[in-house]
Amino acid sequence: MTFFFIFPIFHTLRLSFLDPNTGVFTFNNYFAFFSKDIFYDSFFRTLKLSFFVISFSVILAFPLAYFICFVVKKKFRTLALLILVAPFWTSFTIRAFSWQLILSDKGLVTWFINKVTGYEIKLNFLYTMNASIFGLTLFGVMLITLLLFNSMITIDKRLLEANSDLGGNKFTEIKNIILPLSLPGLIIGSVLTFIIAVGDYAVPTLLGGGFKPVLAQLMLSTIKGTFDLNTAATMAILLVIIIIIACIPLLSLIKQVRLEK
Amino acid sequence: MKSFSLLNNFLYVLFTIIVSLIYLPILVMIVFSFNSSKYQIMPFRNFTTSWYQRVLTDSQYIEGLTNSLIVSISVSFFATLLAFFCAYSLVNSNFKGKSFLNIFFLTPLVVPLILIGISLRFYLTSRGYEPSLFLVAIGQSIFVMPLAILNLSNRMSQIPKNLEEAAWSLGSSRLRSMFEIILPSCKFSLIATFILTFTFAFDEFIIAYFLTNFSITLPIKIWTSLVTGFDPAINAIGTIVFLTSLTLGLISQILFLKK
Amino acid sequence: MISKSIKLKNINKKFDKTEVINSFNLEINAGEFITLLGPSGCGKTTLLRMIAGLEHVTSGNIYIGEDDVTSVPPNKRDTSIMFQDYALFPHMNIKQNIGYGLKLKKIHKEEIDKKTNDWLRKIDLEDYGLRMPHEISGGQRQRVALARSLVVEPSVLLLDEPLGALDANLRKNMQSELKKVHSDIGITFVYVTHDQEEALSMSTKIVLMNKGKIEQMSIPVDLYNKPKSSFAAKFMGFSNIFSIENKQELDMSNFFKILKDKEIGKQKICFRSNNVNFKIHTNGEFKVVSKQYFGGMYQIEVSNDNNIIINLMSDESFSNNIQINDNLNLTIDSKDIIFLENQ
Repeated sequence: MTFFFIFPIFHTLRLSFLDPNTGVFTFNNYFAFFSKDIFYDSFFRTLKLSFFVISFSVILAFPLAYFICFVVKKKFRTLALLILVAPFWTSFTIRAFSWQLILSDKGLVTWFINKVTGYEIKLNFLYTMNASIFGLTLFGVMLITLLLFNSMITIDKRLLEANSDLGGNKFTEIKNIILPLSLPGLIIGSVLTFIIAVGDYAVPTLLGGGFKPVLAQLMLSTIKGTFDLNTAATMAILLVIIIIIACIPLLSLIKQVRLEK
Repeated sequence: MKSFSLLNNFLYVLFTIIVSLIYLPILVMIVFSFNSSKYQIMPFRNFTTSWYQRVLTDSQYIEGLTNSLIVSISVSFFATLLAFFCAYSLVNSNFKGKSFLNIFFLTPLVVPLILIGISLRFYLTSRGYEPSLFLVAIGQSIFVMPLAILNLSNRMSQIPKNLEEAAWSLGSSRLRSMFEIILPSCKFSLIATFILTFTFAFDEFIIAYFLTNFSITLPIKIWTSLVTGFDPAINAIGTIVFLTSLTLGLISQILFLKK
Repeated sequence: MISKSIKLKNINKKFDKTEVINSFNLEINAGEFITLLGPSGCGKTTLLRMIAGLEHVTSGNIYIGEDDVTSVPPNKRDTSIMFQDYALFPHMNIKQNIGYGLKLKKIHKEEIDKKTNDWLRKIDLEDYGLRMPHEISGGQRQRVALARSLVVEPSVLLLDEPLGALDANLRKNMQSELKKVHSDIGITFVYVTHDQEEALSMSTKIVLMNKGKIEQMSIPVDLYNKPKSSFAAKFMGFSNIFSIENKQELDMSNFFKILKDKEIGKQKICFRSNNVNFKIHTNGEFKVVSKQYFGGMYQIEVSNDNNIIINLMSDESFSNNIQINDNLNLTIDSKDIIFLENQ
């Protein structure tokens, strides 16, 4: 594990500080990265993409997990969960590709609208960042719902009864009991979603298109195109830095929650 | 009460929308896999199974499938086996560095796959290894190990400590009790972990993409067909893979719930 | 079966920084039924687990028979442990469970078969050999666990609150069964419990523990009748523990007047609530504070001007007509007063 995981990461870290031509230690790769518009843009595009993906995923996943955990009858709970989780077992790539068929300007949606209304319309949705956000959000919703559910199901139902017994309503129930107690699941889910969104290559390529690349796409084209390993390593390390900066506050929040318990 | 049911209705609608959005692409894929048109646009022409025949006779698909099977089975086998020992030592030992080791085992989970792939490629080629299926297997093992360890240590921590202690007091060594007491108690979890890691490895694309040159796996073949031009056969193979992984996934879920 | 003695010499045990066992010395003779009795957290289970080898000692030595086993792993010790939740192997049937220890000793298959069948008969579960642990009742599981521990013929059987999970009725039966097994096979039993009745009815000797130390070690009759400390007295059900100034001049006619709170006087004393005689008397120095029914008996709490509260226990026929705020006169026989050691 050390050999195949830790060493490679450090090797990449070292590469990112080496001059591509001379092999001397330098920070130039990082300066060069931020001085080129295409890199600079993609860096912030990646951040923006993951930020929206997480926000939408959390907003949608919370009511869904609540629904499966507290609204659906016990008999159907496992079934509802399975329905939501089953697509995890399908090819991520093919699912993204299918969205192409549905959303493209000659796709299913425009065809359907044409059949029903007679109008020819253009969606202008595919190959935009919104499409990437859409695709990754669907994935994030599945993941966060699953983890949130795991947290919520352990909540003692008597707490909810106590809440309504003491005169609380649905709103206070969610705000004061369910949200704090399911926070660890929510955070872990968000962190994992963030990591996937930041590092994903397939969805941005298939739905977002190649004209406005995210870091992962740039990395790949750099390696396969120019064989500039040092620049690619720089991007990889930047990716890690993003993750560390974004995740540490979230994860320390979990620790606090645990300590309070 | 009225506002409650309003909320519930809203949740029902939301659930339905999300589920249909998740299943729509899968449905489209299955439908198009039977469409005789070469173009992936509406309207649907005629019903055909010719794409399935193509897939099953195309040597590249067959090769990808075989490679994928070989790699994923070895990945899931070794990852599950290794994870069993790791989980056992994590759950049963009490040494100082335990929490550190715990974090160490789980870190690959928070590293994007693309990074695992790139780093391994940089590092291993710099050490003179050629990209190959073997390296793919190693890279994918790194990625599935945390899941396997999580899964198994979860189960193991539910086994009462007494059970092993009773065995020791009856004369069993640590090694024997691990195999005769703990292993059978983890039976279902082991199978579930094997299937879980298998499906993850089988579907994994980006690590494989970096770590192999000539021997392609199925996800790579699918990817190249997707970006180099439409090949409706992809829908067929996607459907096949979907149905198989779904079955396997359901089995592992059921085993997981059964414990 | 061979029975062996156990010797604990200067045992210390720390978990992280908290001391659980503190310079503990104890010698247990071969063939004894010794009970480690004490409230939860007193270190009795830790001690038992250390004898079994499941817990390391921080310092000190453990001998089983003549051998120093301090650093011997549990599987190499001549002990067998039985847990409160029985710890039957869930994936093995009853017969496999009982035979597991024999299988580990590489005993011949037919021999294993014969011995397990013997034990199945002894514990009245002859027809249950092929059942799984979850298919039998709690009492039956208990007997299987006992058989599994004894079939390997250990020199010492360690029992960690083995009856804790059973209901009261079954408990009584199992108590006498365990006692019978002990006298039949004659090996050393070390029994851990927090239930003093259980300890009294089964053991040949009781070690009363408090905060990692021995509070008192006696035969059951002595522990019950002659507790040495106020802790022992309280644990053995004495509800009246007080102190007096001077042991020599005990004036029985004036006894209840000289009682002080147990922390104040020089000499601690105690007496049982059922040994106090009382009579209603208009000038009685004690006033009834409360009265509680205990099935056939009443427990009555009385108090005097010095705020000394004394517990009385009496037959319901006798105390039926006593009301709260009644005045009582108390008397007690001098032989019922027990002098405690001061600490």
